[in-house]
Amino acid sequence: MSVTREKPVVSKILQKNMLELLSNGIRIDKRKLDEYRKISYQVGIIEKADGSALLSLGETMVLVGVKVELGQPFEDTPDQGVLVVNAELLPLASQTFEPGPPDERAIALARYVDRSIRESNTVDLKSLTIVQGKICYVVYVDVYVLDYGGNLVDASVLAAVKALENTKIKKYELDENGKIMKTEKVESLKLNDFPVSITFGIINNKYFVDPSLEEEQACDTFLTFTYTKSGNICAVMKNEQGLIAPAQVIEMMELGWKKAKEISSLMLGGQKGND
Amino acid sequence: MSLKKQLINEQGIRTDGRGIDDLRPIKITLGYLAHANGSVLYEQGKNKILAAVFGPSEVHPKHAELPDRAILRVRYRMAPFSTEERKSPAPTRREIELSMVIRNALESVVLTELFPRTAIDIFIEVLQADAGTRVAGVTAAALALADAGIPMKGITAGCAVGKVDGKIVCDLNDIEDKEGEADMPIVYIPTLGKISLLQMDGLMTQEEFKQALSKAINSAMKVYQLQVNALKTKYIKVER
Amino acid sequence: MNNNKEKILENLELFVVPGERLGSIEEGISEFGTYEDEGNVRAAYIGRATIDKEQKKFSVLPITKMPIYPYKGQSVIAKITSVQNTLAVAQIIAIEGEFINKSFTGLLHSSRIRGRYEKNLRRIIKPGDLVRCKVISSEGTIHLGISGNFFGVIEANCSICGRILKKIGRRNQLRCDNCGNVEIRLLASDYGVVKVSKK
Repeated sequence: MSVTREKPVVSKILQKNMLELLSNGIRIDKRKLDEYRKISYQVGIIEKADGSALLSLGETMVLVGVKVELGQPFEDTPDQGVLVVNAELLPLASQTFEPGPPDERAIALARYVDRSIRESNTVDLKSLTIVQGKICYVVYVDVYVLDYGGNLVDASVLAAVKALENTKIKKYELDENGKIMKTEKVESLKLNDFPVSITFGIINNKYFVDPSLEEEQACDTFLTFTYTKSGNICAVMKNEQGLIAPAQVIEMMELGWKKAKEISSLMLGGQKGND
Repeated sequence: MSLKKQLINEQGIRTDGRGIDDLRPIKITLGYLAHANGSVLYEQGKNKILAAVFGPSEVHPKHAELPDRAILRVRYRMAPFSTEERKSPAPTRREIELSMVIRNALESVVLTELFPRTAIDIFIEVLQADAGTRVAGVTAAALALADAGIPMKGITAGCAVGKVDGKIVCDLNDIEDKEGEADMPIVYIPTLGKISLLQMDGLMTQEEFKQALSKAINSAMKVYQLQVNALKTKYIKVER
Repeated sequence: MNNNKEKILENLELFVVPGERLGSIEEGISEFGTYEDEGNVRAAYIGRATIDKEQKKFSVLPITKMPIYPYKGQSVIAKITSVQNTLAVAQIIAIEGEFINKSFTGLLHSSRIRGRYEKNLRRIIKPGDLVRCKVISSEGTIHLGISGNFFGVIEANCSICGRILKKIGRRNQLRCDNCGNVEIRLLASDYGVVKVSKK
């Protein structure tokens, strides 16, 4: 059962301040309305994982680990490998995160990262079959939120894609007797796309990209778009309570694509963070 | 290469005989249950969705209550027999996510500040699923809430649109949902002109997204008309 | 407010559903059953709209059954759960003579008791008593009161043996047939003859 959560007490006071600033096109941390916080990342920092990425977006920090294991394909897709995305909002990331199994926020986050990757066909699932209908590779993507500073969605999608890009698969092959054998070969996971998600925070019909933690607490609602490299939209999600006018949805979609291009060139340019 | 089944023929007719903008037949039964404060059986094609509302009632445990408004508690569940293959009765990740998404869609519509320190329970049971159950659930829940006398800002009307065989079509059915290229559930409040639920998964160009959004809003308006008609039939005696 | 009756409207024109615009806030103020949103007054209920152009008022009278909730002015039956000197806590178990499935918690303060100011509530009510009260306010916390003769204790149990106490001739005095114990309560005029119906 999904139950209304209490909004932080600061939200009302904060919202008033922010609205005054926003009407002048300024944000509480002096960013422009369409300005992202600094993105930096490191890949491969967890050696025991098959792929990993630590990404920070302002004060938000997300670690994604990828493990590739053998498993069974789903019955309705016998010629494809399996992609599993899970997300954990760790209690050390914020005082508002409780220990325990993933709650609805974590599940919604995981499912959105999953959709962004799956619907854009980023992971070439067809290349992950070993024996059709019997054995395939299962790609486990585990999103670990280490520090919650707002806009978990964009950070998680980016980190997940970066980790997948970094993933190496230890190859298995069938020997002459039809038995599955581990080989010495290691291959990179084949990726077809590079999805980028852009999240908007909305307060009183005013919108801006990449809400920080403070802004998130004051926002009425959020809208996230995920774009593929070619500018198609592969996932959309409205989060939290408020309402949005249809005309604004289109405006945000167009602005979002501009930002997505910027971010993907930054990420593809291989500019590494210094932390 | 496997040949993909054609879902829309040359005349623009879909597998179930509809045109691309047509909705499935919708049947609304208000007050389906005797004991709930408000209840609706909502049938859209093969979808059979039962929504019921209880409350406002006192919150237990006490610390969950809010001093300035009622809390909403939403449960979306699919019956084990509602799908082709039996669904395990344990809550799935999808159901947990959708319960939250539906709650978010209804939170901004219910005038919760009129019942502080209470809870309003909304139960949505999918008895038979045939694509578009979350939006059908919100559509049904809005009627159940209004019928229970819970003050609201407006009635939410939902409809899913999607992309099938390269075309934007309204109100996907099960095959179109599974085989189609994209699915976009949306909940709209016609009287306020605002969107309260928006999701999309699949692939669409930005142009297609714009087209899908406007088609979704048109479809939601049609659903809204049916909702209002259902309420009128219940509450107005038309003199002839 | 009429709780559980749905009404059928005869007239088409006045029928509104939640969200329907009644007018702008310049044209009138938002009264019962309506709300303001971005400069407009809109209906909040399925009901009959009244647009009073002269008085500049908009209101909507709901025609649905209303939620089961102790509204101001209603008569309720509550079971006392705890009593202190000036405050008693009670579970509301029936509203306007009908039992409800889930109880609401109400507070009964000594200043809301009929007659003289009672310094010690323990002298006139005890935990376990069924009391007929009036809802004084229900915005947030539910406050109850005992005002006229019709309000007061309608059923009480013996504090020694637990049997139901019987009213004896003297005002506000009760006696237990089993053990002969005599107790004092603030009684409703119909103590001992009240029947509460299950809906």
